[in-house]
Order: sequence, then structure tokens, then C-alpha cells
Amino acid sequence: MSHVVERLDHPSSYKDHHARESREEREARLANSKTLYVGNLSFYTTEAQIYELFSQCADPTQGGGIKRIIMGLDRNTKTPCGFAFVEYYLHSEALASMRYISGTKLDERVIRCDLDPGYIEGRQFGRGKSGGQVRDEYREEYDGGRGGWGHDVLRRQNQAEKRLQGHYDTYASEVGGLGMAGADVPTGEGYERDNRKRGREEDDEDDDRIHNKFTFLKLGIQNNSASDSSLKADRPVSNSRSIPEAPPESKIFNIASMSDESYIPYGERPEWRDVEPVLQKDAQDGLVPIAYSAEYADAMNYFRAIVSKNERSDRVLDLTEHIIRRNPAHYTVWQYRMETLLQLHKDLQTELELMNEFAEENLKSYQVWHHRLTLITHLQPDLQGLRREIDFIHNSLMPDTKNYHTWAYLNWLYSHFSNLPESQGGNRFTEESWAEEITWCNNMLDSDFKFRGPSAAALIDEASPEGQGKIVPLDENTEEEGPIIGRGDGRNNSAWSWRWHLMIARNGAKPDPVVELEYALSQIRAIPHNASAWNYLRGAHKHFKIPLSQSLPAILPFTSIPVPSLVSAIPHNPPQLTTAANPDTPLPIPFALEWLADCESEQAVAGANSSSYERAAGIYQELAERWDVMRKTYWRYRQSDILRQGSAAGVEAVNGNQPAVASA
Amino acid sequence: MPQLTFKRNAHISFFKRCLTMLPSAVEGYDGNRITMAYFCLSALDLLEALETSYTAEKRQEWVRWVWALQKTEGGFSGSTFMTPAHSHESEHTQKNPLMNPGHLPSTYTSLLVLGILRAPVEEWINKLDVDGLERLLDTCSDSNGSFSPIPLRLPEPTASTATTPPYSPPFQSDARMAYCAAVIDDMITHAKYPEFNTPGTADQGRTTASPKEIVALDSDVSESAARSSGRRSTKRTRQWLTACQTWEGGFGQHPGLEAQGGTTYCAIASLRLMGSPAPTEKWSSCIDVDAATRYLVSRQLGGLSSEGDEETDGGGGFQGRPGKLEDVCYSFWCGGAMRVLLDKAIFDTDANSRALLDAQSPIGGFGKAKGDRPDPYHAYLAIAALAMDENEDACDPSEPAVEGHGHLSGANENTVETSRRSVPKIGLKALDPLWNVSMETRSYIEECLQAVFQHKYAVSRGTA
Repeated sequence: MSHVVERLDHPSSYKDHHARESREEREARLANSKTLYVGNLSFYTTEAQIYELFSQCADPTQGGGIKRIIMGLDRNTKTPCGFAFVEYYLHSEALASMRYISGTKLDERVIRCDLDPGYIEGRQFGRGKSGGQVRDEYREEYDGGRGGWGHDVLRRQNQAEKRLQGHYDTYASEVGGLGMAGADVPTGEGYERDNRKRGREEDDEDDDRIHNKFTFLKLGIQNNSASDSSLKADRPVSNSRSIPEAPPESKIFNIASMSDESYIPYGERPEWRDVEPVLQKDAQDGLVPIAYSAEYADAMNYFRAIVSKNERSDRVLDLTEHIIRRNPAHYTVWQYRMETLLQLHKDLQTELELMNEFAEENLKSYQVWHHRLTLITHLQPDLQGLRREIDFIHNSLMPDTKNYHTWAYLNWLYSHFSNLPESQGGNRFTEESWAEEITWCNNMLDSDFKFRGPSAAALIDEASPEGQGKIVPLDENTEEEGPIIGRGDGRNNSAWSWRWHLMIARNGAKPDPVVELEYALSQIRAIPHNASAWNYLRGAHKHFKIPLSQSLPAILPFTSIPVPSLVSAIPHNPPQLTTAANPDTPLPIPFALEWLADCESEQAVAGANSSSYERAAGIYQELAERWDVMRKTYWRYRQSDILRQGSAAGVEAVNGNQPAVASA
Repeated sequence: MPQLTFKRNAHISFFKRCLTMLPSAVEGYDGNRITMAYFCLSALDLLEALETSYTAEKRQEWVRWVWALQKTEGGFSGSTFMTPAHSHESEHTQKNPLMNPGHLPSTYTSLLVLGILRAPVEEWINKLDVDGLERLLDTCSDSNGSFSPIPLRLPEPTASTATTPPYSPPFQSDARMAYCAAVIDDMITHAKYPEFNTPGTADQGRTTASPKEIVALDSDVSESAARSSGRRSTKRTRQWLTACQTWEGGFGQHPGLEAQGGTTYCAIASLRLMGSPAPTEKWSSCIDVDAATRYLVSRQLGGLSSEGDEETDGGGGFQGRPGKLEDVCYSFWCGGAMRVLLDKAIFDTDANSRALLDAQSPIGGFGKAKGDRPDPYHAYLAIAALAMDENEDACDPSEPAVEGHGHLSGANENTVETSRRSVPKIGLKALDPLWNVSMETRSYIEECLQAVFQHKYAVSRGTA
């Protein structure tokens, strides 16, 4: 039957003018293509949304799925510029997408899909003069979803806001199983395996890797459940989350590509011929037996053998590396490896380099960080070495800015090397080191700040180790900016905790209460719903023993209470309503109401104004019934508490006693 | 339409599947099989499905497996992965106690599993090495009051080559380990001095836990003596845990680290288990209870909440830290911590139960959040949280919180709203939020341990 209407999966006439090939070659490639070109996207559409939409045509039952998504990027700014490549595992999936997705709407735009002969390196960048797509340069009208010629500044600003809102930590590293195990307890992702596979698939893409390192988000291969949960269209994922890939020379691809077929059992390796493997007792009995893979069981049989002999040798290092690559939570194996390294007087710097690679793959493993910490303890780096280590940790945080282990390690590093005993050289850090760290922490909390990786030029002549992974601030070398690898985020609670440590809690800190209060208030003005900023403000007041009412004038604009004179809690200084909230922010902010109520409680307890008890109770009730209903039980608890204190104080006042100071 | 039916059978099947065989994908947890087992068995216990699912023989076989994890140096290890098939091969691994040693979390979960499986009381008497437990606690304790998951030193330093110093800094000596140590210590101490127990109301015995504290102080007479003898010290541990409380009100994993829902539970529960610093003080007198309460209630997501403009699908579940996503395990950590702190749940238990029910996996169990693949850790903690929500009335009738706070002695008609639950009855056993096991199992463990000490004293008197 002939087609009355044009087939939906008919490829369009677009062709890659940069490709040098005949029409026949091109058509032959298209006939089997698994890749789609997707156009007319909004600049604000994220990889996650694209993944969500296009996975509807994925067919996992046939071994299919989305292999990867390559966002089209503005050549200069490295920000999305309105197109993308979606690569499936199956041709049929690409065809299905042509049929069912092309012409549908994404982010209020009709998107267009074409079969593509296949992505090749370099095509991810826009080819227009501006760095974006050529078609945007011929368009004269302003397009709300794509910006326009001359609207670059606006676009950048919008984008920064969009990303800020979408800055969820989808890696959700909940302390790697705060469960009871000393090693990790499975979190959802524990069940998914084989990250190794991805190494294999990418082997043929070495050329891409330098660019991959920062610009691609390879969603298709992150098939663990943690990512799945993040791949919802309403949880945008920013480019900055892409995991830096290991450099091409990295060892991991060699070991990792050791597939089951090519695996050589230890019994068949000449260097292990003298060892009699020690089998595990009742491996498949008892509680929760694990269906060990043949490779793991084999390696463990030899591990038990060498432990029973207490052998310390190079092959022990090979064996333990093999096991921890498969099983990075294996604390006994890590421990044996560390002891072996020390007994053989191995170069621990080499081991540290191996750990750099491990850290990228296993950000959530306690053991990887523990091993690193042990190495650094033994290496005793000088300030220069510590700087390199700190740069590495800073960079490790970029794809996962709230990773608890990484922050814990950073905290340990500073604490350990600033408190060394004199016999080991004492404090390694200078005032300048702390100042640098404070600057970095401020950037982490600055929602407008962009962290950049090394520029392309720097990557090419990467001879100097100092240049590697160094974060270059935005305003430096404007000529050749590196790609954006991360952004500051005023809501990053981990960074707030680090600020507290740096500015207030650490030995040698010289805290200035005014600076801390003003910093928190400025962050509240920028993002009025930012829980971290409010908590920091509250914590600082308590720590420095400053009455909450002192910050009340700055907070009142967020309460939407129009006449401040009704508020008894404002002390002597008249309210300054100059710091009005952004008019777009819906008021009141529950945090501000809570602050007001707590100020009233503070006043009431101090005996200044007995009607404050009722005012406070009234606001708690408002919170319970209207503004923060989820916590109604808590607000009623606060309400009845302050009323009880009020009645107790009232009784005592009648008796002529001092007003009660009810709570310590 | 949110899912509100409790998939009892699917959950039972999920935990039974995990007990039968875990896939090779979880080889990473090979060292922690006993903890996986605890999650599965404690869940089946709460579901009242253990006896109906497994024969007495099967349970006894498992009990034997758990006893085999006990180490001569003290405590239990996490699995058999270092146990050679033939005994002659084990010569060296036994000689080197630092390989696969007793492990604090595994010891805690082993003891609970023995209780859940109802290991006969004679076996507790004949097989449990209570002195070994004490040794493990002492050798894992660090001089700053924290606990390491594995021993930091040998119990009795000898001239042998094995007296290597701790091979690495105790990075993992965190609040989780303190919690495991505190439960083990609690088990031992209460069994050792049964006269301090309040029969039948074991948990409330902890509420006014001063008797135990007197014991602890007694054994702690000389702080410097304890330090030099390498014994653990309640006083130092309390100081260390107190230092974990942060500007946010929650507790971090170490002093100076960001607060987190899970470590907040561990720290608060440990402090309560360790009792009061002095007979006239409350157990919680060393921490800021109001700030901790505020931190915990703020972790519940939803409504016009602390997350303000963040969109939530109804909410009701908990996050682990500000700015993070909902995760079912924090319904236990935060909800449990609140109950330990205040003896009541001052959060929206209904919304929490609904969020948990909605997050059930269609194949049984729970993942981190709705739609995630289930795993034993999240599945167990979600069920434990549901058990606490459901038994809120049973755990804590609407009496005022006597200890811990001193607030709310009157005018609290509105505060306890557990009577009008919109969530259908689920039918889970009551959970002890301190030990994290069913109340029934806790009582059984206490009985067995008391029998152990009675026997021990009888023997020592007989031989004296």
C-alpha cells in the first residue's frame, strides 16, 4: 500500500555539510542509524527532560535504551543552544522516536527529530558565528525559549536562575548507608552493577574523551537507580553534574574492560601457580548468601590463601586491586592492601594517583576515602602537596556538591594538618591557606559563580601538573575560558556548614558576629526560602548570644505584617524596611513568621511585655493552621508551651516574684 | 492516586527473596551479610511473618551460622567471607586477629538477630562470650570517646609481632559506631545489674535511666585510670557526642561536620542509652533539645514548608539534610530520633505513613524513594517507620512528656492527634525506637542476657 501521507519516520533533508561522504554512503548509514538529531529545543530544556521524553520509545526488553544524550552546546559559552543528539542502542528505537516524538511539544515548543548518520566529535557545538546555531542568527524576532541575537546577557541570567532552582542533588549521597554497617550498607544503587560495562562501551571514543570530560552528560549509561530517580522532567539536571571521565591513559579502562569472557582465572596464571586457593566455608549457606560471580569467588579464594600465608608481595597488590575494583566496600581487603604497601615501602604517591581515579568512580564509598586518608597521613605532604590535594577535593565536589564523604575528608584534611604535633612539623597551613579556602567556600555559596575547568588550550599542553584540574575563576583568562564544571549554590547546606567551621568553629578562627549575621541576611534577601541561610542566622545568634530581635528589622519585610508598630519585639531602633523582599516572592516566608514569634517569646520571657506571650502563641497558631501546615503538630506544641510559660509567669507576677525565666 | 494499601504479602516475599539469595550485584556487601540479615529478619519479625515463613529447623540453622561469626577476641564479624572451608587452613587467619576481626556494627546486629530468631536461652548461656563483648567495646574505644568499627588495639598487648599500632587514623569512628557501642553496652549493663530494671516497661526504665549511670560512674571512678587502662568511658563518649551537635541543632558524623538525620538519630539514641551524667540531671541536659527538635521536624517535607518554593508531591516524607530529596530511610532516622528525644512524635505521622505507603515498590520492599529499586536497608527502615507511626498510641499514650523536656505539662489537648488516623491499619508489631527491633524481641534478648549473667555469677560463687 502506498503512503498517502508522508511517512512519519522519513528522514529530513538536513545533512551535515561538514561531512565528506557520498549520498549513498550517507543513506546506508541512515538506514541503520541509532542516533537522532533533535532540534528546535528551548535553551532551557535539560538533558533530564530529553531523557524522560525519549525513553518513552526505548525498548529495554530488546536490549535497547538510551545510550547517551549529547547536548548541543554553544561553542563559546558551553551552554545548551537548542539541539541535541539522542543515541539509542537500537535502530528501531530511533525510528519509533521519529514516529511518535517528532512534532510533539517539549517545554512548549514543537520539537523536530531527524535520523542522524551518527554523532562524531565536534558536532556538539553550534556552528554559528556567535557560537550558537546558525538559524538563531538569521532570526530577527526575540524568541522567549531561545533568546535572540543581542539577548545573550539576558539569556545567561535566565539560565543562572533556572539552574539555581534546579539544583537538586540527585546523587543523593545519603552517607552511603548510614545503616549500621561499618562498611557501606546498600543504597538503591547497590543492586545495579556493572559500571565496568560503560568503560568498554567508551573505549572506542578516546578522541572524545577530553571534551566528554566536561561537556557531556552520559545519561544512557548511568542506569543505576539513583540516576533513575533524578531523571524526571521536573527535576532538571544541570550540565555541571556530568562526571568527569578518567583521562585516556587511565588504567581503569584496561582493568575494567576485563569482561567475563576474557577473564583468566588465577589458577591459569603462571605467577599464581604456586598458590593453593582457599575456598570459603559454606559460601552458599547461612543468612543472605550472595550469588558470587565466578570472578569474585576466584579472586577471594586466592585472597584467603595469601592472607593465611601472610604474604606481602607485588602480586598481593595486583590481587587486592582486582578485588576492590569489583568491590570497593571490602574493608578487609583494603586493610590488607594498605599493610602490604607499607611493609613493601611502596611509593604511596603512585597509590594516591590510583585513588584519584577511584574517587571519581566511587564517591560514596567509605573505604575509598578512608584509604586515601591513610595514604595522606603517611605521605605527610608539604603545603604544596596539600594544595594539590585540596584542589583535587574541590574538583571532586563539582559533580556532587553535597557529598558527605568528600566534605568530611576536606574537614579532616584541614583539621589534621593544622593540628600536627610539633614533632611532625606542627601546623602546615598558613593564614593565606585559610583565606583561600574561605574564598572558595564563598564561591560555593554564590549562586552566580561559575567554576571552570581547564581551558582547551590548557588541556592540550598539560605538561605542568599544577595546571591540571585547577579551578580558574571566571574573570581570569577571558580569552580561553575553560568549560563550566560547576556553579555556586546558596542552598548548599554542606557549604554553609563548611563556612561555619572556617569562620566560627575552627581553632584560630576570629569570628566577627556582624559579618556572619550580615552574610546570612544577604543570602536570605537573595533567596528568601533558603532554609540553610535562616538556620545559619539562627545558629549565629545563639552562638554569639545576640537576641533574635536584633535581626528583626531586617526580617520584618518577609513577614508581610504591614504595621511594625504592632510588633512589641522590636527593640529601640526603628524598623528599617529598606531591605524589602523581591516583589515576586510570595509572602509571608514561614521562617520569618517563626522568627517574629520567637522574638515575641524572647521578649515575653525577658519580662518586657506580657502580651508578647499571646502574640507569640498567635503566630505559632497561624503557622500551624495556615503557613506551615505540615508541621502543625510542632507549632501547636510551641504554642501550648509558650502559653504555659505565660500562665506560670502570670501567677508569679501576682505573687510579686521575679518574672520566671522559663527555659534555659 | 496515591497507593495506600500496605502490600504485606509483597513485602514478605521481598524479604524472603533477599534471605534466600542476593544477586552478585551486591558482592560489595559481602563483608556485612549479618547486617543485611538483620534488616530482613527484623522486618519479618515486625510483619509477624517469621514463624509462618520458616521452619524451626531453618531458623536454628541460621542461629548456628550466627554463632559461628563470634570471634575468640570478642564480638562478631560480619560474614564468613574469610572463613576457610577446611579448618587447618584457618591457622593463620586465626593467628592474625586483625584480619576479619570482631566488628562493632556486626556485633550489634548479630545480637539482635539471635534475639529475633529466638536462639534458645541455653545457647546464650553456653555460647555467648560476654567478656568478649566487653573487650570489643574497650578495644574499639578511642581516647577521645569515639568508637572505631574494629578494634584499635589488641585486648592485652603482648610482645608478639601482632601488636601493630592502628594502621590508620580512625576516620570511621563516627556517631554510628557510638550508637552500636551504646546498644551493646546497654544490653550488657542492664543484664548485669538486673535490680535496676523496671520490669515490663523496659523502655521507660531508660527514661529515668539514672541507676545505670551510677554504675557507669562507679566503674569510671578514675578518669585517668580508665584512659590508661584502655577502658571505655561513658563520660568521654558523652562529651564527644555532645560536640557533634551543630549550629543547625542536628548532629554530625563527627564534631565539626554537617548535621544529618541519620547521625542525629545515632547521637541522640546513644546519649539516652548512656543515661544521665549525674543522678539529679536529665539524660538530655548536655544537649540543646529545642534546637534538635526543630532540626528534626524541619526535615519533614511538604506543604508550605521550609522548602518553600520547592515542589513536592504531597510530601510527608523526610529528607536527610536541608536541600536534599525525600528518602524513606529518614522517616525512621528522624521519626525515631524524635521519639527517643521527646517520647512522642510531634510531626505529621499520618502524612508520613501515607508518603511511605505511596513509595512501596510494586514487587515488595522499598527503594530510596518512589520508583526506586528496593533494597533491604531502605525496605526495613521504611517498615520500622511505619511500625512506629502505627503504634504511636501504644508506644506513647497522650500523657505529657515527663522527661527530656519539661514542656507540655498542661494545655496540650491539641498536641496529640494520633487518634484520628486516615491511614488504614497496617498490622505491624510495636518497635523499640532505641534498639531498633520489635518490643517483643527486645524483651526476649533482655531475658536471655539476664540468664547469662545469673548463670555466670552462680558459677563464680560455686567455684569460689
